[in-house]
This record gives sequence, structure tokens and C-alpha cells, in this order.
Amino acid sequence: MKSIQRHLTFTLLATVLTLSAAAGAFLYVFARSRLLAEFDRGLATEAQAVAARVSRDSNGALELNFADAQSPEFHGRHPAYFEIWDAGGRLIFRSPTLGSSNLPRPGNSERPLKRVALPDGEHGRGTVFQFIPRADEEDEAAIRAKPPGQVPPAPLLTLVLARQPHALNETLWVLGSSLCIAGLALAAGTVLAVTLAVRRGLIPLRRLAGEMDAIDAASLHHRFSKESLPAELQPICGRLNSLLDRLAEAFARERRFTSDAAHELRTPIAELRAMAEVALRWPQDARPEQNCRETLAIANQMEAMVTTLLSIARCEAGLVRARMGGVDLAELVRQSWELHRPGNIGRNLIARCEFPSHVMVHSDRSLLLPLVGNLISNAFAHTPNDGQIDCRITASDTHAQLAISNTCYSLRQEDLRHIFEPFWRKDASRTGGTHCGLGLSLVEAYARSLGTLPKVELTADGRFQIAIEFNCEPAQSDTAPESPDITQPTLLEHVPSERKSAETQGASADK
Amino acid sequence: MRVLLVEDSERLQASIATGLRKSGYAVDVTGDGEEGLWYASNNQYDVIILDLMLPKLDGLSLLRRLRESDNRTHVLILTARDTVEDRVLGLRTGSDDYLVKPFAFDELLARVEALARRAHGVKTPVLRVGRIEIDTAQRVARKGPDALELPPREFALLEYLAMRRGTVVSRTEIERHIYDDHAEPMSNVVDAAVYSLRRKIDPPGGPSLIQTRRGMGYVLCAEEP
Repeated sequence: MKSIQRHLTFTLLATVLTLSAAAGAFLYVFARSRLLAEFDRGLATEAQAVAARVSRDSNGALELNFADAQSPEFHGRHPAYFEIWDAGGRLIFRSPTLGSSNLPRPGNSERPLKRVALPDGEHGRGTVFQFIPRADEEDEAAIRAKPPGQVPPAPLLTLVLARQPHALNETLWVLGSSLCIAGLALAAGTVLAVTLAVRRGLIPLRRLAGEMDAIDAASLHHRFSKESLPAELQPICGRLNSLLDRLAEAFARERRFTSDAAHELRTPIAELRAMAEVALRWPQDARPEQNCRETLAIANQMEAMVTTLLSIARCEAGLVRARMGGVDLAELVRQSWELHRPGNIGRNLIARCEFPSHVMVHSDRSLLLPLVGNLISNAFAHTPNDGQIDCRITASDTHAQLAISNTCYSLRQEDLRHIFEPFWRKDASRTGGTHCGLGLSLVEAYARSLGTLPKVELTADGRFQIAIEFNCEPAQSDTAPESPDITQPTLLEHVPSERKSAETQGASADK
Repeated sequence: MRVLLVEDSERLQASIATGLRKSGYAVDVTGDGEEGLWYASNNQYDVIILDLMLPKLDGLSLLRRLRESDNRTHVLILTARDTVEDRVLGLRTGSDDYLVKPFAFDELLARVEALARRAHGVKTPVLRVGRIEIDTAQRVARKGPDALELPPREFALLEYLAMRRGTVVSRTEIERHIYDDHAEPMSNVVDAAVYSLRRKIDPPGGPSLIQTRRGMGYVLCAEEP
């Protein structure tokens, strides 16, 4: 499993170790080169000192003042070694420390020797120094006194001086060891510091995770506080709160559905059971005919509810495939209107339905008919007796819209977002069994299957309006009518006589 | 025993009210919360059967207002809401029992009987007064080994007097607990019922178990006077 803490620790540790190793190596190499250069300069100085001890006399004989060579660098465990050669390659002098061993033959140029095999079996560094031995004051005077032809020429000598850089090696070893120890200490410190820092830095994340763990269906009201979180986590916190909002809304919707469904299913069953039990217990008082009528009504009510629920479920599962074709929307509206209006004639409500004589839309008649029927039935069912229903089809060459509005005193703007939820009813008591709150859910499900969506709004005068838009069927030459016939609009109107007179009086007063 | 049924389903109203009346209860019925609150506040009931989802005033609000006004009538919530949260809320709001729809009518009856007994501080369903035994669960009264033929209203009268045996019960109280709003008891209907009951339960030639306290009411004596 990926771990931020582990990842950060390893990354930071690797980075710190790599950088410190590089810095240590650079420091070591730099110090070593400086120390070796210093050592080589010391060797050169020593070589010059040895060369200074070589002199020549007036006869050209060379002499090494060896008494001076008894200096401390030619003694001890790690002495210096030298050999002096003439230009002809003849060994002139050699240090007594060499014993029977030799130093490598020098070339003809002055240069440092980086690796020289020493008599003690170790390797050291050396230097090659060329010089012309000088004459002391007396010999110099004798040489000057001689005629030029009798004075032997001064020879060019090559001095090879070598020594084991023991002190240098020790210094470098101490430096290297110190750097390694410092590196290891740095690594350990880095691991500790990074672990602590990362652990501390991840505390808000762990707290957030703990809070999230504690959230269940019963605590969806919980919201994460941004104030206590670092800036990096605040956007995540905002997203989590949004997610919780959506989850809470979904759970609330689910709970409403469950509660409403329970009521809609349990109540008729309770009615049936109580009616049957009472009739069986007191058969002499039972009214079989009345009971049968009630039972049938309950069965019809439950059948309608289950059928509607199944239709909605089939639509939502994508099992309903619309067979699109030309459908006369105006004719469907007329049919549905004529079906529902007679049952409401006795009520004191104004009902107007206006539409062109033909509006051919691209739809499926088997879905569109129940959709329109539910809309009109719903409008008649929920309009109060002093209210008004308006059903209208408006059409252009390409689109047609069916809009049904009705007086509705109880609906509020915030109710509109629940209007298509199955079983939702404005009346929380759910009194009355003829409507159970599935009509508009079915309308929405069918509309989706037909590729459109119903839009709802509360108009400025407090009326509830639902509108659905359809694509018009493309015109075909051999079928009529080809396009919406809006020249002859049809108006189906029902105005109760008492309200008709009120409207007339109102119109007169307006005039 | 008098019961108030607050239920908005007309079919359930009819069935439950019929069953309760046939079981000897006086039943008042209403379909909305506001009217239910009015009934409960203006009458004395032994038990209130209360639906939660009611028009005008929901059941929980009704119950809350009843308890706030110190009404101690036992309330049985009868609802389709079946979650644990709903039950807990109902009981914590002040109901004494909770029954989920659909229900067995016998269970509803048994719960109503239990609440009615509790209202009068009686634990057992069988009440004994002298030789008279009243089984409130079976709705049967016996005099010794013989079952008494009592119409529901006389049984209710005997049950009510037995539950309050030893204390004087006024005619008004009897009317309030035995007759519902639909009945229109005449001024002497209680006296007539008491007279009829006496004929059935009193020992022949002996003193009556139901004593009249003039100007006050009746008292059922636990022991023969």
C-alpha cells in the first residue's frame, strides 16, 4: 500500500544522502588535491634543499654535503629518498635511506611523480628537479682564475626525491572518516527529522480521515471545519463537504421515498386487513357488498400504484424503448382533455384548453398518451374549486410546446425540486387514496424516454406550470398535415356560469 | 371505556370504530389533527388511538400539545412509519404504545385494553367483585360458573364500575366513559342501564352490588354490604 509518510521519508532521505555524499566527496577530493599539491610543493622545496647541498669544485668534481643531509626527513619510519643523476644517465649521489634499492630513472623534465615504489615496499610521491650545482666561494674564485678553456663546464644534474606521504594519508583518512561519520549522522538525523516532520505534517490528514471514518448514514449532517486545516487540505475539505451535501440529499430523498412508499403500501393493506378481521369477527354486522366494493377500490388503487412504479422502474432501467414517429399532439391533448373534463364539470373551476388543429410531433404515441393524460389528470386533481386550468400547445415549424398551468396555493418555490420524486406529495399527511404522488414521476420518466424533459415553474401569479417541448415531425409530401396548422386554433373551454358572470362584470368594469 | 380514534383513512376509521364499538368501547372518530386535538382536550378518554400523518395538524404535534397541556390520557400511535427512529420519537414525545400498520385487529384491541387497564391502575385483565368475574380480554362476565348475557354497553358499564370499585362514580363520568359523541344518552339512560345490570349480577333476594349514593352516583362494592 502506498504511504505518503514512507514516500516522503524515502524521497527526502535519498535526496539528503545524495546531496551530502556529493558534497562530502567534493570536499574530500578538493582537500586531497590541495593537500597533495602542498605535499608536492614540500617535496620540491626539499629537492631544492638537497640540490643546494651539491657543489662542484674548480676541477669539475661534484660533492654532496652529506653532513647536512642528516636532517630529520631522512630518518625515522618514513624517511625521504633521493637520487641524483647526471645528464648522461649516471647516478651521482643517492640517499643512504635507499639502501640497495633504486628510485625510478627520471626523464628529462621536471615533474611530480604521483606513484613511486619505495624501498620499504610502500608507494610514495616524488619529484624530479634539474639543477646545475653551484661552486662555493673558494672554488668559484679558482674557476674564475682559470682560463676559460681549462674550466670544465657545469653539469646539469637531475634530482629525484621521493617520500611516503604518511602524514598526508593520515590526514586524508581522518578527513574521509569524519565525512563518512558526519554523513551517517546526517542520514540518521534526516530520517528522524523527516519522520517526525512528516508525521506531524500528516496529523490534519489523519484527523480528517478519522472524522470521515466516523461518518455513517446517521451522521450525514456532519461537516468538516476548514479553519483547523492547512491550506493544502482546505480544497479537499470543501469537496468532501459538497459530497456530504449530495449524500445527505440522496439519503433524505431515499428516506422520503421509503417512508412514503411504506405509507402508501401499508395503509391499504391495513385497511383490507382490518375490514376483513372485523367482518369475520362480527359476521352478523358485516356488509358484504360494501366490503367487496371497498376491497375492489383498494385493489384498484394498489394495482395502479404498482403498475406506475413498475413503469417508472422500467423507464429508469432503460427498458422502455420509444418507437419514434409522427404523433398528432393536438389530437392526444383533445382526447385526454375530453376524458378528464366531464368528471370535473360540477366543480367551480375554469378549464381552458387551446391548441392548433394539428401538431405533428416526433414522439411515441404509446408513451405520449399516458404522459399527457397524467398531466391533465394531475391538473384537474390538484386545482382548488375556485381555481383555473390552462392547457396550451404552441408550435413553430420545428418545435412544439405543451404547457399546462393550474392554480395551486400551497406549492412553494422550494417544493419544485421534489416535484418529480416518486411518492412526493405536498400534503405530508398523504390523506386520500386516489393520488399517491407518482403521476409526475411517471411523466418525467416517460419524457426522458422520449428524449425530452419537463420544466416546472411557479408563475408570478402563483400558478404551477409544467411545460414539455417536442420536436416537430419533418414534413412529408404524402401525409397530411405536414406542419402545425395554427391558422385554426381550437379552444375547449369550461367556465362555470357563476364565474362567467363574474368575468363579464370584471370585463365591463375594466372597460 | 371511551376511545378517541384519530385516523385520516376513512376505511380504517370505519373498521376500527366498528370493531371497538362491538367490543364494548364508546368510540369518537375524527380524520384530522386539529379536530382530534379538540376532541382530546374537551372529553375524557381512556385511550386515544392516534395516526401520525394527519391533515391540518400532524399526530406528533397533536401529542406534544396534549402533553404540554398536562393531558395524561394514554395514547397509542397507529402508523405506517415503522423505523426505529420513528418509534423512539413517538414514544419519547409522550405516547404510551406504538403499533405499525398493517396490524392484527386483536393486537390493537389487546393494546387498547392494556392501556385502559393501566389508566385505572389495574394490572390483571380479570377483575373480581364478590362472585362476579369480569374478563376484560375475553369481554365476558361470569357470576360464579355462569356466564352473564350482557350487551356491550352494560358490559362496559360493569367493567368501568369494577375498575373503580369502592369509589363513587357520578352519572356524568359514566356517560363520558360509556357513551361516545354519536350517542345521545337520555337523562335516565344510566339509571336504566344500572337497573338492568343489577338484575343480572345481584344475588336473588340479597342486597345490590351496585349501591346508589343519592346526589353523587353509584359505587360497586367489592364485598356484599
